[in-house]
Amino acid sequence: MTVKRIAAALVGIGLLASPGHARAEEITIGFTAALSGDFAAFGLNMRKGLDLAVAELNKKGGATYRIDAVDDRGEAREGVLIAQRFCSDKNVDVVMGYSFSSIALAAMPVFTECKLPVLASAVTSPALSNVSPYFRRNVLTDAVQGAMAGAYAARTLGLKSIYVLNQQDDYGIGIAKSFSEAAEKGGAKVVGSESYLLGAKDFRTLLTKVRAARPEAIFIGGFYTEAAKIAEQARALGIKAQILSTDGALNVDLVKLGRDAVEGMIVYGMFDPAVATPATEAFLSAYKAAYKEDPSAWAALGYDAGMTLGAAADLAAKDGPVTRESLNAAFGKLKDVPGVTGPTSFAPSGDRAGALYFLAVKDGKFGLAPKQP
Amino acid sequence: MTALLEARQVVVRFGGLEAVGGLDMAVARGAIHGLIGPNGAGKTTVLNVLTGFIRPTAGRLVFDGEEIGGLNVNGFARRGLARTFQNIRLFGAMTVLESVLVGAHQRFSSSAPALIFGGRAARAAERAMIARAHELLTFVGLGREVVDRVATTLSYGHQRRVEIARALMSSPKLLLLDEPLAGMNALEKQEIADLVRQVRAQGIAVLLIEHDMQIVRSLCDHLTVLEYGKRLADGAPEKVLSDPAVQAAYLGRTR
Amino acid sequence: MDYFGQLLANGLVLGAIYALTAVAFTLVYGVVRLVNFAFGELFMLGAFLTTSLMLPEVRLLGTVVPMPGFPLPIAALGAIVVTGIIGVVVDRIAYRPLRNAPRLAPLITSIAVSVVLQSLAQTIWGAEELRFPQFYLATLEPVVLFDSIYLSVMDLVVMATAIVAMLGLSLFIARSSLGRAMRASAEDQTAAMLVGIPVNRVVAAAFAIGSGFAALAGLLYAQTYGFAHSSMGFLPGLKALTAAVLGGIGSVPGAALGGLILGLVEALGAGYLPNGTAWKDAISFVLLVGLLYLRPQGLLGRPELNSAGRGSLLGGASSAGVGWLQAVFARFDALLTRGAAAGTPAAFGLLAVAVVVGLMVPSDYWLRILTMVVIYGMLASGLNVIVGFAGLLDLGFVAFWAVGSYLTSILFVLVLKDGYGIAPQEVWWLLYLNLPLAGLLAAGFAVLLGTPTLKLRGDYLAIMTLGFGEIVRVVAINWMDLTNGPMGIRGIPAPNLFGISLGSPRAQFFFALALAVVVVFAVARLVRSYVGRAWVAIREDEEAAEAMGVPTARYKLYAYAASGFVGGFVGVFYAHSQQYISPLNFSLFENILLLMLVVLGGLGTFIGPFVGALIWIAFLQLALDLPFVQAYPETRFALLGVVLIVLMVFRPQGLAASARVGLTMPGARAKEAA
Repeated sequence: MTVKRIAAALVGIGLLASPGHARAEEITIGFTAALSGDFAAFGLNMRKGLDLAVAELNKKGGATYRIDAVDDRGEAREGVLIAQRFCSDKNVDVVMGYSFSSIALAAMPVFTECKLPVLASAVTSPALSNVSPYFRRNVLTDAVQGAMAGAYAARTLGLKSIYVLNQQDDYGIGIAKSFSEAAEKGGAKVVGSESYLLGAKDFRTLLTKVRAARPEAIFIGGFYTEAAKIAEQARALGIKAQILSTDGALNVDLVKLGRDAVEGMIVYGMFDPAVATPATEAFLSAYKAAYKEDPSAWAALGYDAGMTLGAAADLAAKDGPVTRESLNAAFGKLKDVPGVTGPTSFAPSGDRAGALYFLAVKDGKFGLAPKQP
Repeated sequence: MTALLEARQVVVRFGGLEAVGGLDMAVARGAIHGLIGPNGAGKTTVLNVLTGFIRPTAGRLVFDGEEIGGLNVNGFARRGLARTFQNIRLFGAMTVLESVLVGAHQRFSSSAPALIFGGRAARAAERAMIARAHELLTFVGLGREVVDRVATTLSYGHQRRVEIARALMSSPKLLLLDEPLAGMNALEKQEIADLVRQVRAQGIAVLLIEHDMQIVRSLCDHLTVLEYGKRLADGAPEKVLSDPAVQAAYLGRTR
Repeated sequence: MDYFGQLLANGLVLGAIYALTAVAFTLVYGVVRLVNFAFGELFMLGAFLTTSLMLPEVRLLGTVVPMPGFPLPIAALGAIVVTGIIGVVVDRIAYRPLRNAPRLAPLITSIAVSVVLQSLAQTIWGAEELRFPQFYLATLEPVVLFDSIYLSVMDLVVMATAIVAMLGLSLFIARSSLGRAMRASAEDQTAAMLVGIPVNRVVAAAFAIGSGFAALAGLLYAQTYGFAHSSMGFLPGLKALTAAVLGGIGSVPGAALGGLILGLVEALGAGYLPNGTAWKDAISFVLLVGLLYLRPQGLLGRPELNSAGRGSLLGGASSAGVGWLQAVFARFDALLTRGAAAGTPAAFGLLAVAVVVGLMVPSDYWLRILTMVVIYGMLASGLNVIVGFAGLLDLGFVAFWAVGSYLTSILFVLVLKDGYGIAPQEVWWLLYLNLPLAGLLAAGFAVLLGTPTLKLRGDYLAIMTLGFGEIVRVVAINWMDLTNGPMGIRGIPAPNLFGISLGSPRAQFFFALALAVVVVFAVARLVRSYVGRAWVAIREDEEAAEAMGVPTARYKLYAYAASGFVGGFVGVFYAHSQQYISPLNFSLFENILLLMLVVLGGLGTFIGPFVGALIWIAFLQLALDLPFVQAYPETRFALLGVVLIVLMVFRPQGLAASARVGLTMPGARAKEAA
């Protein structure tokens, strides 16, 4: 309750501050993600990051920003309806969020039709590359991430046998495929692969199978909720293999849920809370002040998306009023907008180029892994 | 002349219990045949066997010269055996007309496309059956005012009549009535008995289970008496009812 | 050996938890013949309450609240007692007023209760998982058998607890006076009431004990897998229900046996089949379907429970009533009765209203919403054929819908575009061919799935069809060569006529409306004929229908086929209107949702499914704009659940129940009057 009130108060302050400026452009952000139901955590984290960014932008002056949030509950049927809701609302200038690639994919034809730009933060499916001139995302595709991680596992860590697990959805399948290809090219052997349904809790049977294959490492292409359980159940079954996972597992809650079992687990992400740049420092302290917890990678991406929008709006405002079309053009022209996840610029495909950090859990905290590519 | 329905050496066992033991009986064409016996004699079980509800453990059933023992319940109905139930079983939520029309089910044959696109033949069949339903409702003594009422909201006596009309809708060769007079006053009993005679007058044989000996004596041409699932007596009412064994069975029970 | 042994051990732990939850279902079912879907959520509450009581502090509604930090046994006891009380309260509010109501009403309220509890739990405890606290027993080294079978000390505690709880319950039922009263009520409620057993109190006791068992299972589950989460109860609840049915619902030893078998089969199946974990959920349902086919009453169940269940699907009413509300409904009913009596003119009137609305509504957004209403109304109409008219409680309808959507998507995208490089615009006419084609395919599929269900009745049928729906979905996820798996199929072309795109929201609305006319017309023609009369006769009294010469088995299959046809037919349009489909579109919840729409609107009416869809979808969209919902998104569904419970308690027969459908051909009656 308090966190939302603080965020609302921050937005309110921003609104009060703005009328002093001559050009009081108001920009409405349509935000949609799974905010309730099974997979609400990603969306709520993105929202927290975005709220922080919006508060900061409003404090800065210039255009004012407000958020119209709509929950998609992770249900596919909502995708088109929500897209149309934003399209029909002439106040909405840009759409952000999205927890699931499938829902974004369902929504994109509608956005393309009404020429409303989208800047997503958590959808990694390669199917979204080139999907529309109005689609952009500030997260790397799983194909790119998986390939980097596979090369890292085989070449940097020198692992010889890896068992690949993935959640049975577009994210997990995509990442496991690119990881396996890159790892085999790097000289490692994928000794087995299995998938599990998102939301599964019981991995003992799966891990009994893994144990029989005696791999040197286990790669988990999935989210932190399952990764924590896999790690814990693996240790309980006496499996001592190195565990690797993805940016889906890079979340403070991984350590809360997995405790001792995730010690030593290596994950990657575009955000490293331990890297002490001044921008990161400011973000971390503001986030902690507002929400009394550490930001996750998704919060960081949500925050960066908000700041990227700020940069795009400023750019668009130079040539006249900010419209959907001018914002979309501005997104395309942005070059290296600084952010806590590194600089942001978008390729014509809508994808972002960026680097990955490999992080390891040490003493219950994420830190830069000892070996980097 | 061969019998319309013939049961030969029918045995029904439930677990270890023998409900019907080697029953032989024959219903003649155009007869009103009474099935009587003390409570628990197995009358309803026999009726259920004759309508396919219970598959006998052993024995044969021949109807109109055809072996019917292996058929489903609806197969019995399609061959021309129609029945009513001891506890009236009308379809809830259906009007009188609709309920009665269900009895004519086997006489419809339109295909789904014909129904959807409103084929002429489908329409004609429906119209003919609705007309026939009205005729039969009048025949059983029900007025037009009940046609569109939900059948289960009618009075008990009227529900019985609807059930009989529904059974007659299939144009059966044999109508089986399970205690059609139960719970009725003397006047109503006479009316139903007259109705049964009129049914027979149309060439439909009737098999009925009944307790009221007055009515049975006056109504039936032939009686079969059951006791403990076995045939105790069989023949013309006067002869059967004066049989000391039958009298003993009844007296022994009712005392 | 060590592999098998470990799988066996894993299966036993899982089986113990399933068994405990299955007892909850079975106990309440035995006494009131109600499948209380909310047990999954009581399971979740047990987990959350235990976890919270064990911690020194917990974040509730975003605020840190100090907690007692009890040791596990005390916290567990507290959680079980509190959950038991919640179970009784739920029964009092949501089920007791519906004891004499149509059979499906309490089932629907139980789903609504689930939705409310789950949403509230998320509001209170948040969207993240809550870690189960560490305690002494859990820190002990695991027991290692034969060098390779690992069992934690707590695993052994879980199994021992399950055994003790089951034995205790059996003893209680056999020996105590309340237990005997429970058995008597289970045998015959009316007779029990006549001999002076306080049936309401017995039912309350069953809910209390059942909820306590669910809570116990939930906390053991949370302990075993290390967390509590608001949605954690859904799947275990469903599995437990499966286990209860497997063992013979109503039988406590059956529930224990069913749970154990299910746990073992899942563990061994997942362990020995290739990529078994992804197929795990399908394995249990395949087992269920197979067993029910061979033995409809379950392993230890009594055959007579496989019956249509107490009360009519349509008749009966609520015992709850508020004067002014009844007056409102009475006026509404009069309108509907008149409308239904008018028949065709009323239908044209409604269509005219829909057309005017479609032309006047300025917002594309609302047009999309209305299109969704029409689509869901059509799907619900398809389901209504089998549930509302033929009286077969089918929870697997989504499978037919998926068949239609996938057929057209696979043809257009995977075969023609990706395989042969043919642009969808060039073959726009294929859509119109696919509509009937998918209908036929889905109808065939429906008959195939319907055949093994013919022996089943009532709730058993519901669970078996639910199993089918789930199997189809798991296949759609895992058979990637055919369906592209979870990635889904995108780029499905918008509807197109002679090269003119009908992709705009307004065009789509009218397209949907045209299809709805076709669907309602076809369904109405079938229902208002001897076919519909046969269906309703089967619904009301299957044996009597059979005695009237209705081949009931064949007509049940016809109902499946008609239902499937509508599902496939609408599925084609759905895919083209969404332009992207994935297995996410055809989740288990959609089955339940469609059933709710039909029941909410009124079973066995033509207008009901559309009324249900309108209320449901419009409510969800309107609720989005409430400031309260903007701040707490999860309350939207809690609110919806409350609205549903209220509607069901006061109006269990459905809103439009008075729009009763005549079962004779319209023209044929008109002639007769002359």
